[in-house]
Amino acid sequence: MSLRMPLMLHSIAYAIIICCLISCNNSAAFEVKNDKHGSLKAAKKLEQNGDKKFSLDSLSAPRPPYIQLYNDASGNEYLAMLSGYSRNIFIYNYDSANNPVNQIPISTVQMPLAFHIRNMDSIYVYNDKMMEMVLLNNRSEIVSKISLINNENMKDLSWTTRYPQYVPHGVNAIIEHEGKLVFPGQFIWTLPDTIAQRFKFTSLIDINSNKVNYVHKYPYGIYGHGHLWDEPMFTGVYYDITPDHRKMVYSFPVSHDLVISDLDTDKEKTVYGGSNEAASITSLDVDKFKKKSAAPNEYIYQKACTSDLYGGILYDKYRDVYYRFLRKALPEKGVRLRWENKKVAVVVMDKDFNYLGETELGDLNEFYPDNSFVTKEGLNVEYVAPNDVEEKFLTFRIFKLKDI
Amino acid sequence: MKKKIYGALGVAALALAAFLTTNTSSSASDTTLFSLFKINAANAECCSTPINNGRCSSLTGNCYPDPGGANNCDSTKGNC
Repeated sequence: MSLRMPLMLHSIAYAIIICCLISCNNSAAFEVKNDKHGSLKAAKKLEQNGDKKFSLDSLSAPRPPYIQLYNDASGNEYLAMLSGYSRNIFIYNYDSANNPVNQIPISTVQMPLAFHIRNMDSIYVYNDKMMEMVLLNNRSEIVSKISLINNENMKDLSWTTRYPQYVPHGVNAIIEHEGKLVFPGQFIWTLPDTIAQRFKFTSLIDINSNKVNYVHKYPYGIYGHGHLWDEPMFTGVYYDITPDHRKMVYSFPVSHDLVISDLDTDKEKTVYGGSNEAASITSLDVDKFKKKSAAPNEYIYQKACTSDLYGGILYDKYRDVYYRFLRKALPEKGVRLRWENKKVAVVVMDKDFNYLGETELGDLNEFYPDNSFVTKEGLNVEYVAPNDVEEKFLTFRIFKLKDI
Repeated sequence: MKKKIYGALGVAALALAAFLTTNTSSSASDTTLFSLFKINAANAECCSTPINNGRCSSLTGNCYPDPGGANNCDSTKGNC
């Protein structure tokens, strides 16, 4: 008996230690690994190539909610900017910049968050208050309204499990494809596993019939299985269209891959589109807030700061490459965890998504990559000088691709 | 001798604990929430009304519908 007691105590002690080790290592978070981390070779880089400045009126500020670069029938290039406070869309000639050459009043739209100018007599404005696309004519009169939730009762929130919601960014232009407007939205919070394999986030709005169809699903391996991505920043959808105008390229913030989805069929494929420097990205860990019903805001904010998060993707038709933005992770210790201290990098890929290199531009204090577009001059990224208090200009810093 | 070693180990453990605690709290206090940064103030901003049917985004400070969730703001856009 006297010999067995110490043996039992030892066994219990070992069992406790093993349990502790297992529970310490067994996180409930899901890890998205970057398989090519540190193994990619760069051949190109981006170099600053001047600024472009557009003057702002007293009611408009930098980081406007939405912008669109478009060409008129004569091929002139314009930059249109939504001014949320003055309820106008200001139009600038891109080449000459400076003052706006035109403005479209949109006060008839209650909560404008995005727009698409087909021509001056056909302007679509997304009204977030009613979840609808409003068509305006050249006198800013409402021609038609297209519900994006099939006219369902907005107070009964069950529509949120069937229809996407929209968090528009200028880098995500509304696209025209064969008589349809392509307007991707997103699921806002953690995608419940019960709907993860059927929830479609892209609206296709038929310009002639005003019918709305929904296509394209989240990659189930990442957003399914109830993995916790409980913040619109994690479930956001960035996109562009391929040069043949048949497929969408989707950049999800927490995925190193890109999803290429056919617009006319159910076909899709996944390709690697990550950064050489981005680390694994992990979902929220329910063990960190077990006693609470939802993830605390502070934990979500810290997670967003300390995670590599991808952003917009843009195809450059002049150089036949793709640019993908990355908001780089801040270290967990030793620096102040502020979102705007994150560095902005751009990953460059060729037309087949082969890695060409990546360049760090600066931090989110000075760059606003959600307002970016491509011109023949290069990649335009909104730049806000940290000491700019006068807010007289909307500025884009232009980056040109160079061989290393 | 043993007491001295145990005593020294105890002091070291206390110092380590104090160091770790200080580190943790300073990093938490450095975290800045809504008041410090709003990415896009154009959506329905977070405000609380008797309707409260949404959740406030930690990063954008905007309120989005969240059926069945821990609601803390009114997502009915423009009511507040």
